[in-house]
Amino acid sequence: MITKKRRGVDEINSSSMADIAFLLLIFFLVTTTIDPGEGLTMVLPPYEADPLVKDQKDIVKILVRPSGEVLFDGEFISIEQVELSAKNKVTEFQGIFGAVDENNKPKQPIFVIETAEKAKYQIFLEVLDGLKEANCRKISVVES
Amino acid sequence: MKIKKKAKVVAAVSTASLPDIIFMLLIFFMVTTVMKDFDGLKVEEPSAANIQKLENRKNVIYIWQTKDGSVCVDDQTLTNVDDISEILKFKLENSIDPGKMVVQFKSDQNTTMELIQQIHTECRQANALKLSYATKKLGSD
Repeated sequence: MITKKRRGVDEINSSSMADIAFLLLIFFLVTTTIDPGEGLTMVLPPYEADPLVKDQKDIVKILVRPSGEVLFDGEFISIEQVELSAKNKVTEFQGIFGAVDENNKPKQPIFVIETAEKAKYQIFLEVLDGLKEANCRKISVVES
Repeated sequence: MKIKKKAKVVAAVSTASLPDIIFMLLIFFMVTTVMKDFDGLKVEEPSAANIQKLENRKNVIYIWQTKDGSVCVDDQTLTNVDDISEILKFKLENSIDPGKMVVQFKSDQNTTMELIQQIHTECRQANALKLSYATKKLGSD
């Protein structure tokens, strides 16, 4: 008489699937970051600092008028000219005071942006962007 | 004659459904997790070319300013701009690394500088000196 062999049901061992799922869970928890946004960066002077103490020679004043006109160190310029004017100022400044400071960084004047109260934020940012384009590191703002 | 040993049955809890449970948990948390979703005030950001990414959301304080003068710090709507320095001071004191905190201005491009200057002063009073002006990438639209 022929006896049937009992067939074992083939099964894949799935006990480690849970671990894989856990690892995926933890991996995504750790790696997920929310985009914090981007923008033009700037460092404000401390509240106590008196801007008048600074040596006047290394200050370049940029005035933004309510109408949106820009006065760069006393001269009317257009927004597009900010970058070029700033570059020229840096070159001029380095011609007088030397190219590098004691830390071997290129010497730069301090660019101070002064805005009228009625001036638009957009114009201010365009001026700031122009200065950044010219690689100016020392930028400050003044409340008028 | 050899005596056949009986195959021992290993008592095991079936773990086949564990992954399903874990996946359910994963999906449950994904669905129920609500990000601090304050979209802020409606502003039209100006555009600029030389923008830098901020590093960590935990180190950023957002200040919204609309063109009609309403101001919002993180998720608080303010009636008085003079309160900003107090709020910033409080937030800086309670932060893990106050030196790394960045204040991001989310202002409308048509805001007047009067308001921005006031907030600049408030930031300086609170000693929150690192700023970032939220902008769109120039030429992205």
